[in-house]
Amino acid sequence: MRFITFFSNIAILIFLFITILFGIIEKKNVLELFFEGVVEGEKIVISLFPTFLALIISVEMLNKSGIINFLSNLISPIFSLFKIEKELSPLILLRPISASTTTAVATNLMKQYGVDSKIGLIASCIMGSTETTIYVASVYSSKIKVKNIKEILTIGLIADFIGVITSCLAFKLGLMKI
Amino acid sequence: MLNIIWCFFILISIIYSIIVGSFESVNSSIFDGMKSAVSLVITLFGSMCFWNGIMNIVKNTSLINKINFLVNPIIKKLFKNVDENSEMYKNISMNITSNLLGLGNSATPCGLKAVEEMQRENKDKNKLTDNQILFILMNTASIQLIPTTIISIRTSLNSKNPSIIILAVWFSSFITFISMIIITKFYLSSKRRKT
Repeated sequence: MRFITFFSNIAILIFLFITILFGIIEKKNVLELFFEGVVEGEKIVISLFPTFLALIISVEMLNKSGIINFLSNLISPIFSLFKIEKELSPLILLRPISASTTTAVATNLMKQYGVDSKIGLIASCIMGSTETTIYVASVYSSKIKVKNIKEILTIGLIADFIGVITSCLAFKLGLMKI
Repeated sequence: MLNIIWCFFILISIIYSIIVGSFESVNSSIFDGMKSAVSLVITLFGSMCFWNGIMNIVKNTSLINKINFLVNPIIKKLFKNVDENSEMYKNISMNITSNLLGLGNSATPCGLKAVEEMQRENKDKNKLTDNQILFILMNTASIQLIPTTIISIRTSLNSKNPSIIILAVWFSSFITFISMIIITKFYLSSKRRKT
């Protein structure tokens, strides 16, 4: 267990170290490059705000109305077959569709159950190891005007589901114990 | 798509809250939501800017070539009939490298260019080629080395160890990615056998 804590703390530092080292060796203006990226990042975050505001409010409303709980209970038998926590069902169902919605849902889950709780950790892992499959597939296929993407959606969604199961498994194996 | 989801979410919560009588807390949740949205964006502001800055250093040093170099054998194994010196190949490899580094903003343009170039070689324009199917599916899987967004959200919620999830994320992404490739390859070869 100590190795995992050690590793998760050192991984980012090693990455940073190598990056800066390469910059210095190649005589680049490292700080100037950093600033350039930051300015671009600023624009991305500001452009995200409207979507976040809209979706966080709507997710919060859904949650407080009690309908999320109601629906989670309805579909929990299917998820419990795969030993998936029913609290995660809104996250799992929305994950393939929209990144900002699931960011809102995941943040909500972590607040509600605790960021370092079982639910919080599995939700984090699901967010990190799956993508917005339906969204990505439709962006790419509409670019080349191909309408039939059934096969991509089927395989992509199966893969997402595998991601959910392996995230639960990662918790059981103790890969993210605090 | 998002338009429908948003309107549906709001309408259904209001209807449901009136039925079960939870409308008071739904009303106050609007104001809670505003606050959370601002705090989430502030959290992401620091993290997104920081990582974009760092990744910009990576992009402008030979480190990116090193990562490309590591990615190349995988591309050669997975994609058939792709010329190593073609523009398409470069776009595929830049797309995968950007995805690894979590640079969505540079991954998508390269990726779109790559599928367009694949489309040019496609004989039946209404059907995806094997390479296109595989490439789009690779983009629907998460292969990010450092899950920065989720780590910064965890930081903002006062986690005892925000980055503890890294190993689990790698484990889960790796298995998911490999099984997706296997399923895809299996599907494509069974399709070929049929025709």
